[in-house]
Amino acid sequence: MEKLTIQNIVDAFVAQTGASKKVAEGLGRAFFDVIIEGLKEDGVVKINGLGTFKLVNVAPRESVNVNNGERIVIEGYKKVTFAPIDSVADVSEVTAVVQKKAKKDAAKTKKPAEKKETKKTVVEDSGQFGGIDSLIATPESAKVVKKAAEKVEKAAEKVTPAKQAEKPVETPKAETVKKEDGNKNNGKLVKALLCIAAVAICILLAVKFCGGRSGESEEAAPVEKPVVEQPKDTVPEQKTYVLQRGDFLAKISREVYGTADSVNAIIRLNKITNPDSIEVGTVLLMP
Amino acid sequence: MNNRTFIDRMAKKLGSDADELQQQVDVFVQALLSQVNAGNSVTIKNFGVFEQKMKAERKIYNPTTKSFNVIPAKQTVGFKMGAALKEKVQ
Repeated sequence: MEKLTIQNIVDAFVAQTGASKKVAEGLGRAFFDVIIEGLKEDGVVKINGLGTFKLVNVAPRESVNVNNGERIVIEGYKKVTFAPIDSVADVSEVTAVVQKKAKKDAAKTKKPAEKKETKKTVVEDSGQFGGIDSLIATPESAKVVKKAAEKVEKAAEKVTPAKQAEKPVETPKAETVKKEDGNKNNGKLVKALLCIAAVAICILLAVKFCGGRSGESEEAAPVEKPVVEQPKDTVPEQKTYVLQRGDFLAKISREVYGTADSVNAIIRLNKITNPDSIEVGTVLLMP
Repeated sequence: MNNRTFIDRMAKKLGSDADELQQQVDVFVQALLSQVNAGNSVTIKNFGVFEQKMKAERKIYNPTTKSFNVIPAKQTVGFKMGAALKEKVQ
């Protein structure tokens, strides 16, 4: 976005018409001077191809002085407003601008989108657990549940050997170091190395623990989503009410919406001609 | 003040023919709008600033068809008066 002045417009005008710069500048000055004159005289100036300038009164209003909390009155004034004509922008230009904005928005949302993707993969990994829960609900799937359970056990087994495998890898290192260096000074080094190895194992275990936890928390997400989607589906459906003996429209409105304000809307929607006598059993559409 | 009197007043000031001036004003307005539509802000001394403005898309309810329609986002031209103009019109 550039900040232009009247000079840029005058230059564009000169380039388009071939008029002298002096004439163009005079035209530009007269254009806005006459607008001001018109505003002073009538309060309204209409210009073909541009829009309407109007002089509007702004009423005086009370405000509070930010520094000392005193009430002050901001005096009323006259304001110039501008209402452009409807076709002020070409359609092609509008779409170009909208596309630009969309691109910007896309660039902004790119980073969060990537995060979401990684989250999704986590959900898929832990999907086995959620899958079992949902399968148990259906009666046919006992076998499938067993198979799935076996899968989970296998997966669990895979995890534990991995833990065990890591431990031996690191401890032998420490032991070999012990055997090689028998000196007192090196003894300290060995202790330090042992400490580091222990810390490393702790971190590995902690990471796995946290990973499991985050997996659990993500499991809840897919369960919640369908619940949110359900009301969306039901919104477009038309609500109905079957009329019973002793019902009257205000009562129905109060029951359904909590207020009797919707009576007129019900009458309009059902094209009721006489609201005082409606047959029992008629199905009313609710707005 | 309608467009007719506006052009007549300008013609009187510049001493030129009203019909010719109308054409020149049309070109001038187009030059102004094309810059604003391109996303630039045009500042006019002692008058104000013309700027591109986006109107967000909105939903409207049509009571006769009982349906919700989306009016798409659109671009329009905004104007803010300058301090000098404010003083002049009081």
